Amino acid sequence: MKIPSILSTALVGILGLISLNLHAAETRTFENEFGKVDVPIQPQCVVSLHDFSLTIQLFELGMRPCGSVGRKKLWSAPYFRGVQHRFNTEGLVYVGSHKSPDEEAISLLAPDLIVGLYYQDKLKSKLSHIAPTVILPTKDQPIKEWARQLADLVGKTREFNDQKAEYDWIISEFKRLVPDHQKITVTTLEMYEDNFQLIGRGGLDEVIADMGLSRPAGYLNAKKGINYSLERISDMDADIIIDTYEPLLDTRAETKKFRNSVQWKNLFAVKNNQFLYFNRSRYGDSMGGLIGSAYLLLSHIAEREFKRQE
Amino acid sequence: MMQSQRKHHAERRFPTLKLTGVVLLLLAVVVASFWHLSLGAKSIDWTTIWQALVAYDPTNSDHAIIRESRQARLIVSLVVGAALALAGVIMQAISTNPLADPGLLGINSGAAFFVVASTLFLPMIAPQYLPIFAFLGAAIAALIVILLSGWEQNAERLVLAGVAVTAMFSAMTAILLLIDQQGLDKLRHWLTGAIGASDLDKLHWVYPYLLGAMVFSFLLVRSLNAFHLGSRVAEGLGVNVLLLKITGLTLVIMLSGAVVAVAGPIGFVGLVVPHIARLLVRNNYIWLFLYALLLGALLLIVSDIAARMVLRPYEINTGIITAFVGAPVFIALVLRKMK
Amino acid sequence: MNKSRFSSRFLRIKPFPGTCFHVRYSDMFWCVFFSALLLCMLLWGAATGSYQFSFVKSWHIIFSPESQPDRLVRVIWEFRLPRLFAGALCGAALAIAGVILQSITRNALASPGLIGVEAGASVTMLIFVVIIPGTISVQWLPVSAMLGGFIVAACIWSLASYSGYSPIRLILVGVGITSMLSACSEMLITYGDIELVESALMWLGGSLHQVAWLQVEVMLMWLVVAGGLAWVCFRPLNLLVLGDKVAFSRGVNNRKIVPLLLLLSVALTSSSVATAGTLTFVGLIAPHIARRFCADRHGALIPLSALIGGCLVVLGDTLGRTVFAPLQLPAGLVLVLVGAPYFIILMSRLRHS
Repeated sequence: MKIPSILSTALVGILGLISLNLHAAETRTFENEFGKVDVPIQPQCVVSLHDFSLTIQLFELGMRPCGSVGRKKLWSAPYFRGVQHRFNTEGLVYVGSHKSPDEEAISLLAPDLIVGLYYQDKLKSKLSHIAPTVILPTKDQPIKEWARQLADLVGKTREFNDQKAEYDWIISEFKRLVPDHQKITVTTLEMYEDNFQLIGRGGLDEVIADMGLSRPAGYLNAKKGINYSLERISDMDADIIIDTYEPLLDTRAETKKFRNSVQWKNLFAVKNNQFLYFNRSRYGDSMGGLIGSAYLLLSHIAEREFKRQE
Repeated sequence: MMQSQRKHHAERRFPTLKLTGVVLLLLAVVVASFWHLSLGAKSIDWTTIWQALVAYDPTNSDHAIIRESRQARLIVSLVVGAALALAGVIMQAISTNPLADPGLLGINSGAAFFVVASTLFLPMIAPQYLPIFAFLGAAIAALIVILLSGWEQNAERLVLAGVAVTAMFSAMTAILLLIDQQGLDKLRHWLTGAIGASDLDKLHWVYPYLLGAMVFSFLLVRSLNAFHLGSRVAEGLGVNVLLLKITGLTLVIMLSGAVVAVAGPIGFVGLVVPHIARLLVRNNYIWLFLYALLLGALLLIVSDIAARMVLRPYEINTGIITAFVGAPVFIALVLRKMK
Repeated sequence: MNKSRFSSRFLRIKPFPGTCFHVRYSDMFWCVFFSALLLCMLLWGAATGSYQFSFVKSWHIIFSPESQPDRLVRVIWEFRLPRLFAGALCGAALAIAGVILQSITRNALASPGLIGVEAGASVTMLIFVVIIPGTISVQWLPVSAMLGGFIVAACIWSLASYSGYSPIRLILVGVGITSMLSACSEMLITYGDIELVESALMWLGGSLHQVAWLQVEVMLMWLVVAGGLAWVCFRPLNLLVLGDKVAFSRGVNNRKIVPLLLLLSVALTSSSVATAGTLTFVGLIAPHIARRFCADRHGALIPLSALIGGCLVVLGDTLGRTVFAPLQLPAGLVLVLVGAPYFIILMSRLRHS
């Protein structure tokens, strides 16, 4: 059993030296929270390890990835969440699920860059054998930051700056139209049949923080990602409540019963038609998502008669 | 000795002690129900509960909470507990195995797998037909367990066959949830045995089966009492043992399949309750059934309360609490009885 | 006449003076046969996947990699071979553990998961991944899983044997504690962050996806040491199967040997779980298949089940990798799907005979 390890290490060493010599002129060092990686200056074929954030962001920057992780629904064709309705995905190759992407499928594409999220750090060592693999800090950093890093990686910083400028304009517009924005409370949640969670999709939480809006006391005391009983919904009452539905499941039907109940109808936001029900997959966790969500909030708060709990 | 015989005869004619027990249990169930209704994210006092039930005021938010969410959950807990306990009594009777339980023997997992498969493969089917798939799954799981264990009166072989069958069906369910990632999102909560307010609707589809099974099981009482004395004695008394076992198994399948369709797989109730009931009323099956129904309902209400209170504000699933309570009881039983 | 028939079916081996092993020709044949089968399956596994090779080509890549294009070499050496070897080793370890447990408990339905190692390892793993992520670094996770497994096995053993060892009690206490621990796992799975939970689920399904060469070497060491020790105990195992009293009359003290054998089984199971997650259906099926060839002769049963266990896991992993490609199914789950019908048929036939 010692033979394989010696051989393979020697092999990798030789190959590494060869590749270094061949590509020495075309790479640079990219550094972020997850370490240093030698990446090509103009990557041609990028594989993304998350459809809902990285793939969408790459498309928005004008850099079509050649392969992406996606979702599978039994025997129907795999779909890339949040991508299909906005971009033409012809030629985008499905490489598996985001938990265990198929290295062989990725290898077949002969990519020159692979990008992944924070929880895919463990896959980095294996995938580095195929192509330089960069892990982006999607958990600890806001979308603006890792999108900037991604744009830097693929040489599309100009397109990113355009997106950022648009987003900054929307925020400043909002603050101009609503000078006392910190007095408005917003709750972002997701209701299911018997419980709800406090989640904001499509970058909504980041937009709300950037716009300087505040949260109700019940929301601040609660934890994210826990299933709460629907009885506690009155703790989450705010000037505006935002829920999201998933078009591929029947979430609207599931929650309809509760939305007809007295508890729900007694909420301030519901009584004043300030309950918003967005499509969960329309905007991904990308700059485009931030921009879209920001426009929605701008429209729903600043550009109509808005009542507040006073 | 004559005196105790006389007392025994007297009791047979008018079972005061047992009747008192039933009344006490009923009272306990009512008290537990009020307690169940009063606890939750917000504590509501008992007078408000009484008013909500009797003089409902739609504008009062407390009344709304009670009527809309908690009452439904209470009813589901009562029915599920009673059904599971009854299934456990019958199962232990026909397999003469004190360790039999629909959860341990894989029946729950089989029903759960079929429900998951039908939800994913046949989404166009109206949800009223889901219980049929649950029954199918329960029946197939029971069949496989019998095939594996050989219908011997061998406690450990039966339990191990159940373990193998549970593992099989859980693995198949896991595979399905892996190749359909939305299914995972939707179903993982249900799979641990969740009781929620929405289950009341599911209960509507299922109550005819439950009611029928409960009524029918009372018809089996005489045969079960005879069978308890031994297979040969029963046959001598005119009981068709094979028919009894098949009918009993069908009833168990209907009861547990219906429960799985409503609330997901909840185990151990069918194991623990018959033993407690037997401590109280020995082995007359009509009393055993009555006590089991009440004790099962009581146990599940209390488990549901615990599930909501133990890790506030998180709500654990009731199936997890019953496992945490039932498994130690199971182990204690094993250590006591198997020397 | 009898003597010649006797000597023609057996091969006499005298490794040390005073000891004499009788090895049946048929047992030797089957061992060789299954070793060859395992090698073929390894080659097949190395050749199958998104990159499809012929057997000849994969042979060349494995044994003379310098002459082949580096991309193909990388595919086989970095992606496929570690998984295949780890799978074969874990399958072998679990099969041996299964043989031990089935013989100790004298019950054909016993599996290595019975003594709670799997459940203990899973719960420990889930706690460290989902509840308190980041407390220990990734390379210590398998070790902590093993420790968790050992602790649970020790609890079950002490509960089951405090007033004398009884196989029935061991089985039933094992089932009880395992159910409780699975409820614990389920609770952690439902209430954890779904991202962390999904990766935990993949691991729990018996996934060889992230295996590296280092783990293969560690697993090999465990298999050689614990499996070798188990093989050495083949005589006591032969006797234990006949019953406690028979074994005692032949000098096997079950108070001493059973804890030792259980310890070996726990070591084998927990190292396998730490490498590849939960794969224990192998430990249930492989001994049964092996028994069809060599009955209860543990001298041959142990190596044969090890070989068959290895073949099964390699089969499961390769199928899981390719059937829904590029979506990967964990080997453990595929094996259950494939093995369950066969197991049921096998067991129902056993009952009739």
